[in-house]
Amino acid sequence: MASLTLDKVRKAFGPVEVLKEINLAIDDGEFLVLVGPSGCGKSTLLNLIAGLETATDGEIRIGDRVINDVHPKDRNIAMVFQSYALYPNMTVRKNITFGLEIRGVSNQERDKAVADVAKLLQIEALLDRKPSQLSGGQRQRVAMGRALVRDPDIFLFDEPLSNLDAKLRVDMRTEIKKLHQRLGSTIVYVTHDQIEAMTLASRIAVMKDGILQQFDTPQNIYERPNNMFVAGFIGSPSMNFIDATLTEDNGKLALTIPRDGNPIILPLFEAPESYRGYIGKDVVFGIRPEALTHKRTGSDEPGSQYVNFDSKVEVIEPTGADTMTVIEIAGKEIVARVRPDRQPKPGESMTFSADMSQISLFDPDTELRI
Amino acid sequence: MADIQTYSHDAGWKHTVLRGLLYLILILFAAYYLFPLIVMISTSLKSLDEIREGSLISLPRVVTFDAWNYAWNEACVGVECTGIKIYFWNSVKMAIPAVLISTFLGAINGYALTKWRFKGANIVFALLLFGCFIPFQVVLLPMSQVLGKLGLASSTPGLVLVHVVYGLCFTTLFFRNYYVSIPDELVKAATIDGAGFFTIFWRIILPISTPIIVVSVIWQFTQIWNDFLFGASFASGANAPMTVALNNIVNTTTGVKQYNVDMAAALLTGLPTLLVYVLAGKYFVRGLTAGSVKG
Amino acid sequence: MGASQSTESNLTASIQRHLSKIVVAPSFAASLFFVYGFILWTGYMAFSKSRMLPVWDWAGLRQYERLWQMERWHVAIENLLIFGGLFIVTCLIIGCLLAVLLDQRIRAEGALRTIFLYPMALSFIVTGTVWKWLLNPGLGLESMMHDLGWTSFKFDWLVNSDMAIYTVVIAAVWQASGFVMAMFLAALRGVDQDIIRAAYMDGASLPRIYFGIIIPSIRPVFLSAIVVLAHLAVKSFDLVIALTGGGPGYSSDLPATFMYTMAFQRNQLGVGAASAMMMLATVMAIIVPYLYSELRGGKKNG
Repeated sequence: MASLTLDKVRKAFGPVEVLKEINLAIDDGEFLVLVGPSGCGKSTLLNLIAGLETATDGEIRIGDRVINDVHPKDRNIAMVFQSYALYPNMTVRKNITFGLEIRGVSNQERDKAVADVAKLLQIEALLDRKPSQLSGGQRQRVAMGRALVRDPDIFLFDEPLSNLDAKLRVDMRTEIKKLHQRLGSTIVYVTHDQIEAMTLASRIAVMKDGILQQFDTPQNIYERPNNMFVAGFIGSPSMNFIDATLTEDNGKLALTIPRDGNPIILPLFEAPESYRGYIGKDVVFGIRPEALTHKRTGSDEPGSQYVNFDSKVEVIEPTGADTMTVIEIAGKEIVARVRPDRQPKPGESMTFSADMSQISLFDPDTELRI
Repeated sequence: MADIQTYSHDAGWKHTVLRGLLYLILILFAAYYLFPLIVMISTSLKSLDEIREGSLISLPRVVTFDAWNYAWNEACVGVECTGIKIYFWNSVKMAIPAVLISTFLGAINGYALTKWRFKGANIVFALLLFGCFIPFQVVLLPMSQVLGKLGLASSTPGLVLVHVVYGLCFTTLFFRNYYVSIPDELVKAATIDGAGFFTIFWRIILPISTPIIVVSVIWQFTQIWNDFLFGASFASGANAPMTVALNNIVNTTTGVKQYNVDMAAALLTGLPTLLVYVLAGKYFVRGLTAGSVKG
Repeated sequence: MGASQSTESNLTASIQRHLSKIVVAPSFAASLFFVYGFILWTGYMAFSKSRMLPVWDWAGLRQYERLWQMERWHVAIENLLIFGGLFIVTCLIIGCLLAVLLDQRIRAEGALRTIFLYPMALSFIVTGTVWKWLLNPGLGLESMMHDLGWTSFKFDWLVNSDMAIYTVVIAAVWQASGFVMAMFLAALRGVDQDIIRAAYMDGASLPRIYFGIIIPSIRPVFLSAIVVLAHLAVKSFDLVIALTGGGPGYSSDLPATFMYTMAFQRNQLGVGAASAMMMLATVMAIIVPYLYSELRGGKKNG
């Protein structure tokens, strides 16, 4: 197990810059998730760490060792691929021991290694089957077994759950998390699914267009996203963005949202220094659906973090545990999360509470957090 | 399939008549295709007298394998009258190495071009591919000179060289198209496991290439065994392949024309590829359609 | 902490990448030499004074002039057009017809397909030999018809200088039409069923469905088939040699047999080379535009 450091790493394919100066460092035993939309460069970054591509610039270090020019097989890494990439003509046993065989590991050691890993992953019964005879979940496990048996410094996962159906995906996600807890291995995991990122990671690196948008713990990324992209990407249903103006009234800051002559005024709960520069200016007001609810008890008290306002309901989408309520504010569709027993009818007007301790403000031009 | 049963609006008897007509036409065509083969076999089993007295389509009254025996052991090719069997073996000695070498080279080329792409790989492939389409007349003259200079004129190894060189484009095409659809991740996983270029080829890629190897072998065997142009141009003597010998037997008009021997010799020449086709026909078709439709 | 430059100094990976080139190099070199080099060689010979032996003296276009002044060459070209045209058209019609018929969920489809296709597995020499016998004036088809009662039937095309080339058409069609059928059948089976169902529900009759929808939608295969057949036609050598020997005289000569005769039997290397270059030009004129349109319009895979 070892730490991983990416120092000013850049990758260009000819004139196209796929990765633009990535700086990341994780400690031994961390679970790093690289997440972002297609084309953001996360898979390329993983390939660089694996050694399947070479960095155009910058340094990659495992522990203290610079590995830029080291062949994949000598980097002491293991990789699990999206399509599992199991060798079709070999049995599960041979698939798992192939790498060991190439390295010249003795027969007895190989057998022991396979037996241990098979027990850990509960695939003992499958050892003599061929990949074509396995289900998706079983193949996934064999692919992990192949990686585990190498006892590497770092595990790399390239969207390993994308090819599984929804239920299996959730089950396997838990398995991977349990494995990490048990083995304490350093893991780099690529996915486009932000739920996987949130549930698995010790730290998340959100990427877009080859640039690292934010690198932090899941909770921090969720509560204090650096920019509008991260705010909108992480969290489902995604954060609502509303155009508003930051106004001041008797020294108290508030957000004013235009609405057909009857603006909504939301006094702020907290007013950090950074907000000062935006008084009188337009800002983007970000609030997650779970912070926009039915009228809360205590919301009328002074000093409450909740601010109430009324709005007409457009559509309701019951999900069982909550009812997603769509309202329209300043021309945008905004999603609020309402308790089912308080859910309104479409067309009705209702009082909503906005939890102003859980908001984010963004500069409308730079899209950065204020 | 848009067929009469599902998509015809006609019902009952009209439908049956159409269906009957359909089968009739197909059977007529089948007869048209089978007719020459039947005549060939039947003629080869007749005596010369019977051929002259009987009719083309009459089956032999007395079945005799004399013509076959004569064709195999005594027919005259040029001045040698030792039958076509020598030339059968010539063809075998030429075809087997040529098929194996061109298939192997095609495989490793296809593998290198798709799984270890380098700059200009596409151009290399295109240039290679182009060679499939040229009329071979345009290489006959230089090739005969080169073979002469290499001391390979009128020899079996010379023919093997020719067939390998001009078969490469097809085999590379087959394997390249096949390997394109093998996921690259397989090679990546093996690389991380520590396997190199050749290890991956022998232990992972080749074992899953059986279908295309079969297609390539069948296609190449058929092309090479059936070839006449190269054989006639470069090995017309004692090392001639069977097709050249056949043509010689049939077209040298010394004395009486022995039609039954001609037919027997033709059958002997056609049997190997016919057998391969009957046994493994669908691979043959795959080769034909994959090579030409994809272009 | 300095940034390392991107030299491909990852030694093993670099060797591997070169390994790939090394492996392909022999085939590539062979192709360059034996295909492109030879084309240039033949091309040069066509510009030289070569007759019996190759000679390197420049003769400009004289060999081409001599070529085009030979009546035999004109006969060969004319034959190619007749043969090629009839061959392609007949194969297309028969191939298409058989494919459509076989598409009708026939019971013995597999057996029938095998029967239609087997001629393609035979050498052209074998085909030529068989048809030479079948069309033998006196003992072949003619005599068979006489025996069947049609005593006035005459079939001496094989020895008739005006008709000899048509015998080549007959034999070639027999050999190749099954292959065209296979191509079309595969294409028919790939047509989107939903379009057919929609037309059926609209009330279109079966012939209408075929002629109006299905056959137009497999137009690309028509083109492929034409290209393959044209290519076969231009290269036709074996069949002519076995069937008619180019005769009677040279009345059934084709450019391929012409070239062979000039180069290997008549000691006219220069003219032979010139005719070979003409053949190459013809084939290129068909293939190159076809390949270009295929690669541009269709998939661009690496």
